[in-house]
Amino acid sequence: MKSALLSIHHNCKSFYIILGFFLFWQVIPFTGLVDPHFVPPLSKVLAESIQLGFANIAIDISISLGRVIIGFIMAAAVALPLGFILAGAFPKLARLLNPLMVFLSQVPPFILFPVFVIIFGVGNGGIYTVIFWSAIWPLLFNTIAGTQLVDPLLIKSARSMGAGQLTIFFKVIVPGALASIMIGTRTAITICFMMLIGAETMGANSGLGWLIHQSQRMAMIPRIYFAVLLVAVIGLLINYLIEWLERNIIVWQEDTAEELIEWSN
Amino acid sequence: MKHLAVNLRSIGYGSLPLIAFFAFWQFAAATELVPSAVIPPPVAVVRAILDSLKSGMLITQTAYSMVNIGIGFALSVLICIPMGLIIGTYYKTFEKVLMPFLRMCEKLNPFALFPIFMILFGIGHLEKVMVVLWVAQWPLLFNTIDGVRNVDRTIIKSARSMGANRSTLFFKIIIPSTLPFIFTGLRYSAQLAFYMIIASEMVGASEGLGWQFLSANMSYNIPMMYGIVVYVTLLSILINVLFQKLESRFSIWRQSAF
Repeated sequence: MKSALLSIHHNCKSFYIILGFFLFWQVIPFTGLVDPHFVPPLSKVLAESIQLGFANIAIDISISLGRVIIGFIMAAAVALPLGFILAGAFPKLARLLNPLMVFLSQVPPFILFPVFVIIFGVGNGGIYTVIFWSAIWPLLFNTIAGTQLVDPLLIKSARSMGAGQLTIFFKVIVPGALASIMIGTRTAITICFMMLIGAETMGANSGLGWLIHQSQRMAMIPRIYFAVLLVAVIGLLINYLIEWLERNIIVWQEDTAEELIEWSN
Repeated sequence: MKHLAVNLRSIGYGSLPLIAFFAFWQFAAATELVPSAVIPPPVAVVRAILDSLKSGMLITQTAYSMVNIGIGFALSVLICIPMGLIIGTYYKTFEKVLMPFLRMCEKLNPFALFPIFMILFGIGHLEKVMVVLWVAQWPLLFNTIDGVRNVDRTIIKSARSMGANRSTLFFKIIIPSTLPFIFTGLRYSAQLAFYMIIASEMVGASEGLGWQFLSANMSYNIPMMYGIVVYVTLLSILINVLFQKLESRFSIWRQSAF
C-alpha cells in the first residue's frame, strides 16, 4: 500500500507545481490581491467554455490547425525538393545563394503579415503566406544541411553495388537526411504555430487567434483567459506530438550522443 | 593584410546574391512586372527610410523600443542568471518538480499572452518591459542551467583536492565554465526579445518601431512599410552579429568539439 502510494507520488511529482498553479489561480481572485474583474478565477474561465459552446471551440481549433497543416505542407512541398536539388545537384549554387537565404530568413514573419495582406488581400491568403514563410526557412536550411551530411561512404558503397541514381536517392540520401529534416520540422512547426496566433490576431475572422482578439475587443475577460489557455494546451499537444513522431520515425538512428553521456556518467 | 583581403573578398562574394536580389526587385518594380503600388521599387523604400531618419522619427521610435528591450533584458539577466545557477547546482532536487513546469512555460505562445499582459499591465512602458522579461527569461534560464550542469566534474574535484573553498570554486571555476552557455542564452534571448517587442508594439502601443509600422500600414504608406521591414531585419541581424562576437570573445578557451 505504502509503496504503491510512493510510486504514484514519484510519477506525479512534476504535476504538483502545475496543480499548485491552478489552485493558486482559483484562489487568488477571491482574496482580493488582484482585481477579480481583471483576473477571473479558474472556475469562471472554464465555465466560459460552456457559454462559448463546444462546437464553436472545435470549429475554431480545427480551422487554426488546418491553416498550420496546409501552410506547413505547402512549405515542405517547396523546401524539401528544392533542398535536395540544391544540395545534391548544385552545391556551388547553394553556397552562392546562402547569404541571400540567411538574410531573407531573418525577416520576422509577423512583420511581413501586413505586407502579405496588401499583396494577397485580407483573409486566408495572408495567413497561409505567413505560415509558408515561417516554415520554409528552417525546412530548407535543414534539408540542405542534412543532405550534405549524408556519409559519402554510404553513397559510394551503394553505387559500387550497382544502385542507380533513383535507388541511391530514395534509399540512402532520404533516410540519411531525415534526421535533420525532422529537426527542421520541429522548429518549423513551433514557429508556425506561434506566427499563426499572431497572424490571426491581426487579421482573420476565424480561428484561435481571432477568438483571443475578438474577446479582447469585446472586453469579455474570462473568454480571453479561456482562449489563451486553449492555445497553450494545443501548443503543448503539438509539441509532444512532434517529439513523439521524431522518436518513432527515426528508429534507425543510433543514439550515440545519449550513449556517450550515460557511459561517461 | 592578406587576412583583410580574404575577408573583403568573402564579403564581396557574400553580397553578390543580395545585390542581385535587390537589382531584380528594382527591375521588376520598374517594368511593372508587379504593380509598384503593391511592391514599391527599392529606391522608393530607401528614400522613405531616409526621410524618416532625417525627420528624426525613426530614431525616436528605435530609441523607445530599445529602451524597453534594454530594461527588460537587464532585469531578466539579473533574475535568471542567479536562478539558473542555483537550479543548476541543486538540479537533482528541482529536476522532476520544477523543470517540466518551466519547460511548459517556455513553450507557451507569447502572442497568445499579449492580451493577458495588456490586461495586467496596460500598454505603457511596464507592459513592454514585462513582455521582454517573460520572453527573454526562458532561453537564458535553460542555457544557464545547462551550463552549470556541464561543468567538468574532474576540474571541480581537482580544485577541491588542491584546497579550494566554496567561493573560490564558485568564482574561479563554475562561473567561467558557465559563461559560454550564458552568452549563447543571451544571444537567443536578445533576438527573441527584439522580435516580441516589435510584435507587441504592433498589437498595442502608441510608440515604438512596431507602432510606426502599424501607422504606416493604416495610412497606406507602403514604401515606409517595406522600409521598416528592411530596417528591422538589419537591426536584428546586427544584434545577432553583436552577440555572436561577444559569445566567441568569452568562449576562447572552449575547445571546438567539431
